[in-house]
Amino acid sequence: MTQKSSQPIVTNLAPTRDSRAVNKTLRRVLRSPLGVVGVCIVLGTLLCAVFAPAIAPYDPLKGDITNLYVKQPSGAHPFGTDDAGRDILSRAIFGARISLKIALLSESSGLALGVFIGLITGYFGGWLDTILMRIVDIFMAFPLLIIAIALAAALGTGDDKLIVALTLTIWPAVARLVRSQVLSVRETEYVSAARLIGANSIRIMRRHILPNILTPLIVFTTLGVANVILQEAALSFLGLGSADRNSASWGRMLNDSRQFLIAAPWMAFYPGLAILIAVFGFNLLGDALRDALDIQSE
Amino acid sequence: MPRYLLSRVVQLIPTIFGIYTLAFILMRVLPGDPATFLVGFRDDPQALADVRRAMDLDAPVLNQYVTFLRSTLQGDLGRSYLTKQPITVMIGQAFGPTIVLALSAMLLSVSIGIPLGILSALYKDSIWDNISRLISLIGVSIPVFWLGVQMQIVFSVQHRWLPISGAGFDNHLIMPSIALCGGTLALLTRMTRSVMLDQLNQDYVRTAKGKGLRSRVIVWRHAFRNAFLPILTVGGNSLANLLSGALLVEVVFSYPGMGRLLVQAVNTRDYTLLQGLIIVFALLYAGINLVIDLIYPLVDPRIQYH
Repeated sequence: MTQKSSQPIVTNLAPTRDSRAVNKTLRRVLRSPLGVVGVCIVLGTLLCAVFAPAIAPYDPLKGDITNLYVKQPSGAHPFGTDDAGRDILSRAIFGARISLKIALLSESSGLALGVFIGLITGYFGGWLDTILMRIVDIFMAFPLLIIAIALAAALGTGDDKLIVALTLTIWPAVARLVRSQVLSVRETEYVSAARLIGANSIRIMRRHILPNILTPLIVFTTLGVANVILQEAALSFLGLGSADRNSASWGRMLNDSRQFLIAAPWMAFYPGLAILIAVFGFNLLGDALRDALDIQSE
Repeated sequence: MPRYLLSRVVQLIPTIFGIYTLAFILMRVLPGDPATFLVGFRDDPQALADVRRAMDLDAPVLNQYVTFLRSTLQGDLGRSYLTKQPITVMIGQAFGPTIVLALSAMLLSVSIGIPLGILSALYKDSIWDNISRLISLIGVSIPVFWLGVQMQIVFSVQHRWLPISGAGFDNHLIMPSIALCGGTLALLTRMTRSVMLDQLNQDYVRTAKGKGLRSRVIVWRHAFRNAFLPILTVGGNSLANLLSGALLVEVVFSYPGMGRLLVQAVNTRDYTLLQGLIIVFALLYAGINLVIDLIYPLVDPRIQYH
């Protein structure tokens, strides 16, 4: 808090792509202990996803030939093995790949779609705005999970369809957020100034409006990734995820474990723990980012 | 007030229309129509055509849409393809248990979340504050179905303290409500903390302190009353989310509610049931939001509607 007074007051008023601002935010995030934990968890999960083949002790698809059934956690298999004798630790590490891939792809495409629609509706207004916002209203009239289930059921199983279903649940909230931000930024003096100089709409949106709505979007997206990991897990748990048993996300692993609740409780425990930790990490990071960016804009 | 009520209800009309339309569209793009499902593996084109005609699936889509709108607006959601029961009856039976589950989870969240939020606002940055922050972060991060399964393993399989599944107005409700309440608990705690912090810094609280009022009176009679409105909003939205969140818990605990019915409808491709459930969920959602809006002026007389 003491450093706050020594900061220059004007930091976030002018649209800058200053890398110092990024550094400052990062330093603020890393100053809070919970922020550090969040960054560590998120980085750890990402590392697991990227380097899964190097980290995992066993092949996630090949069972132990001598023992093709569930085995309790032991020295050789710290998380135990599943009904096909496959190492659960290795499967959980590879699961990070699938879960994060689906979560990040759906969140980023939902974000892109939402930002695009939010920008054009907020900036241009008119009948396009009216129609698109009615559609947003209708989407938001449904509970998220219900619409995700209906979409996933309508589209069928498969990772790509799951991503489409999740994307369609994400964009309306993003569009609404971006639109409201654009409406408040549109009337500021620097935007009028840019317009007076003769900048065209695309340039104004890209250079002047977008950088200014970045702050809430970053926080929103980080928390959104946490949420979409949970949604994906829920859909997979209900059997609406990927049909391919080999590319198992954490939610899919949980779904597979349901018949072995009594015989092999560890099959259900570890994938869920992985979800909890990853989601917890993204939530912590989102929180820390919100605090850090909030101070900066004061 | 009556005029406000009227305009608020009129605003609902396009939304309801949209809900019906979206539900209709969703059901038409489902892969493999129910006729294929019913005829099964027999692969008999004649039987398929017969079933389609009987189900009115061969009519032009626009005709189907008009028929659908006409009957649903009259409150008739059709009959299940599989059980032949009217959808309204099936949903009616599942409605009560889901509401009971959602309300008991709500009760749990309110009675833990609000005190916890006030506590962390009063002792900001203390150990209480950090503990409540941690609890609420875990609450939003935990997969409800996983928590449910873990509780089943510990309390039903290993210790046999609680029933593993089923419904009832007794200890059947304990585990499902606990599993369900996490997210709402977290949200309420956070919201209470931030609004209470706002209120406790206001001048009137300082005045009250200056008058020498006891802190319990200041907190509950003064600050909390003013903090109540935003908390009510969050609570109302959460209730709507609890209704849909309940479906995961219902699947885990074989609880006979609307969520389990929905999953059953998806798995058996029971179009009409799925369609009916989606409509009922969305209408409930819209209804709860309407009620919250209408409660505002009762809670806070400063708010007046035109």
